[in-house]
Amino acid sequence: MATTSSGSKQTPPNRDEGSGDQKKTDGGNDKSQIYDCNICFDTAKDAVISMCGHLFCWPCLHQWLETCPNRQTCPVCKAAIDKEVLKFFYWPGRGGSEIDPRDEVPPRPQGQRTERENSSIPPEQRGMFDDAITRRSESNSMWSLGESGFSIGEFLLGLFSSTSSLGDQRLRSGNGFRGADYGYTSPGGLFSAGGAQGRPGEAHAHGGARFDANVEIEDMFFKLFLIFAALCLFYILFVF
Amino acid sequence: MAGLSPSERRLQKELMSLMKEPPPGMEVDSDKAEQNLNLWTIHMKGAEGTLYDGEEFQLQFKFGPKYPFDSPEVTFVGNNIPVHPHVYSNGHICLSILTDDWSPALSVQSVCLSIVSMLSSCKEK
Ligand SMILES: [Zn+2]
Ligand SMILES: [Zn+2]
Repeated sequence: MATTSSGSKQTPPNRDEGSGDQKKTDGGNDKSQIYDCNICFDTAKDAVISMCGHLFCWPCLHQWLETCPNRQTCPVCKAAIDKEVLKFFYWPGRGGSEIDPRDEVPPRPQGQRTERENSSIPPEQRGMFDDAITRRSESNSMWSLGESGFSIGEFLLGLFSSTSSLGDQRLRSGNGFRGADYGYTSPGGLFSAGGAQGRPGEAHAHGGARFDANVEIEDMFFKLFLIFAALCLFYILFVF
Repeated sequence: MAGLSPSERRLQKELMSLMKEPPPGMEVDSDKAEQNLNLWTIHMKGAEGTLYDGEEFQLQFKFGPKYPFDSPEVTFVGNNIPVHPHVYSNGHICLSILTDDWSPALSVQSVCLSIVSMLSSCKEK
């Protein structure tokens, strides 16, 4: 049969009509189509966002991932999806599930929420989704950047405050590397208890750190060396 | 819309939007679809400027209870089955998104558009 010219044109869509009256769909919630789940096309309930940026209800996404256990891909863009690496959104009064989907579906994986000391988030930084963001998955690197920056600062602060109040305590660590325990303490917390023990709340599960009152000048140097090493390390980390 | 299953709920939504804004050259038989939400017939015109210009086809969509997690069964029906290397004479369509590459983010509309473009890309019958 005869071939047509390669520029096969299709009828252009009539964009000018109908666009005005797409207001009323059944649910009446179509103003928020950006909140629609990409699977049920409804406003997302228990919303999760994949790392590739696509929004789903948790029950919907879970069911899809169950459907093809050996090919966990995003329904929209086919990017790989890791169930453990999802973002969680909570928006007030929107998409709350009237019927709790958890009756049939395992609960959405929990975001992890860490309490920070002296936490005062400026009100202007609390956006619409912020209630959401405070509960986040730990592996969610993007949103935890700010906080890890903070905790590194905290860490350095802790080191400095420890050197200043240092002198009469000695850290005896269960494992060989004494510095390992430093990072997990809050400012001033490490050496603030002048006696034999750190604050009970700060007992480290893995380090088994204890303090006693023996003063040894080598320790002083050792700590200074550690601080110097830590600073170098951070310099390298941040510059490169 | 109270007692609908998730699959019916989504089909209802799709039907509404197809009726309201049908893609060019397509028309869903809404009476039939409303009677049985799991069996749709779509009338499709061959796109202008293609080998199928001026022809009319009928597509049948069968939806299982697991839709959209399972793909719909899509076939050409009626007395005019398009002549195309990927369409069997019994109406069966050989299209990857209808089997292995199905995704629940696809819809009746996107399937129809894929079929139209599959037909349109054919240069020789
Ligand atoms: Zn959904
Ligand atoms: Zn995606």
